Amino acid sequence: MILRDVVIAGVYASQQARLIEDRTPMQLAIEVIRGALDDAGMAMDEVDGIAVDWPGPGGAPGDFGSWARYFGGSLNWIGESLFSTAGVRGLAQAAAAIATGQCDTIVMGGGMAGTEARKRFATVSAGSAREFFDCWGAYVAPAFALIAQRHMHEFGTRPEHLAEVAATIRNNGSLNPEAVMFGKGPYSIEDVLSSPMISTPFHLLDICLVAQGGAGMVLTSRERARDLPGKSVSILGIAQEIHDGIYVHPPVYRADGRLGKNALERAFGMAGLAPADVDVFCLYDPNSFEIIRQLELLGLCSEGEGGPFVAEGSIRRDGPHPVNPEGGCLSYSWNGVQQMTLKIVECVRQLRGDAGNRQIQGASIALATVGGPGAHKFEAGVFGLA
Amino acid sequence: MRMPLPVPSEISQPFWVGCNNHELLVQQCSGCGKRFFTPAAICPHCTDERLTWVKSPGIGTLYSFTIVHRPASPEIATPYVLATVDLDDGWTMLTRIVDCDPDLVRCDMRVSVRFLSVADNVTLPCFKPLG
Repeated sequence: MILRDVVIAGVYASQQARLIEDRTPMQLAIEVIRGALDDAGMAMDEVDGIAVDWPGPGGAPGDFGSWARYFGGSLNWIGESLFSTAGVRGLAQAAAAIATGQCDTIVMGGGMAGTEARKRFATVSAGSAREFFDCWGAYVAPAFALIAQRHMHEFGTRPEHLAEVAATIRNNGSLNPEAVMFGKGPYSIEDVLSSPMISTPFHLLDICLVAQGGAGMVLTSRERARDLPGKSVSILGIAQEIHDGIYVHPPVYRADGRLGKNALERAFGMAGLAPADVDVFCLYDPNSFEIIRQLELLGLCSEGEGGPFVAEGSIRRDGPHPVNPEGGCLSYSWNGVQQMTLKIVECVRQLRGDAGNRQIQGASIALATVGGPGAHKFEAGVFGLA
Repeated sequence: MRMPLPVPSEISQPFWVGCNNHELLVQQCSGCGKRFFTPAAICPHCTDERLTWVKSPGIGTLYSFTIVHRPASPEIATPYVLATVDLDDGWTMLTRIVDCDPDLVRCDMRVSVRFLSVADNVTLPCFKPLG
């Protein structure tokens, strides 16, 4: 088997909302497992690998071995940590297990629900790891802002460029019935620029949501998927790039501004494709500037030209390079870690032609990315119908 | 205006002792001669383990900054200016800019260290405009 023989056979996204109080995290995890398997047309007894978050009760939180007794009492593979359950990084680990023949069918995913879950997530990276970070009052948004601010200084990128990205993606989310921000807006550049400043240059509307919800995926072999009722999606290329631990050091543009360029080249190289071949871009958007930065990494415009590039309407749904048609982390959802999985879920839906009123016509190649300089890591996956 | 206090490690302890003495100390590698931050067990440039603590002149150039209006937690006063400073002696640190109107902060401005006492025996090396 090679990488592209590993397919995503099923995807599931739960309700996404500011607060989900009618389900426990455990119930949400079970919901995404069942949802993804139903979407694949597969049964629980066929699953032999799990990377779904185990929130408890019963068994230590994060010990995925606790799932085994619901899957026939024996698994051939489990994921290692919260990041194994989500996004391109989790997908890469699971795909490697299947591609090397260690197991046949993996369910991955999880979700955040309720006020207790929010507290647990907040303590993920506390302690002396952030000795030279927390004491300055640094946190996620200002860390990313350091990159945007330097880019504006070096290349003349303007707040209006960031606002164009924010307005475009939020207006996509406004039309998506599944989005946390469904029905809100529409937003203009002026609306973004007049929203409260959080950390220069980011206004409130330049920064992603904080919400809850879950997602899940089923991976299996292309061979197995031939007998399944639905359309499966091949993983054509996948790569990561890691510069540092998370939130230990500040990002600096000269070292971290191009974080992801190598991962993208590897992923596209594996796929035998170029960024110009991509029909739909599901790019990680913790803030609006990250879209500008990634367009430059992709070479769709040169370094420093991302601002004017988006000002031309390049990333709109009817533009040449549609970005985050479902609303992204800015307005569809951010739910702890599974927003990373939602990038891939949207890729799959677009490639299947299942994206409803946000369908990009004729989508046959999709790109999902996760991470950014603030977190010193980046992941990219290239997808096409199997 | 209280951020979480740093918890020194066995590697970083000399740095924080230096701050209490109003000295900006940094590690220097005896192998390659370079300085680096944050404190480490081996040189990030060349992996040599022969490291010493030296005194930095504490003068540098502001590389990037952000004016934080929504704080990390509610009891912290805003706005405050987070910044990355390139020290002239060849290393970079995350810090805060003080003694300056936030609206006058600019990338590439020259800065010098300004020690700020934030609690008993806890001093932070912030930076202010030079001159």
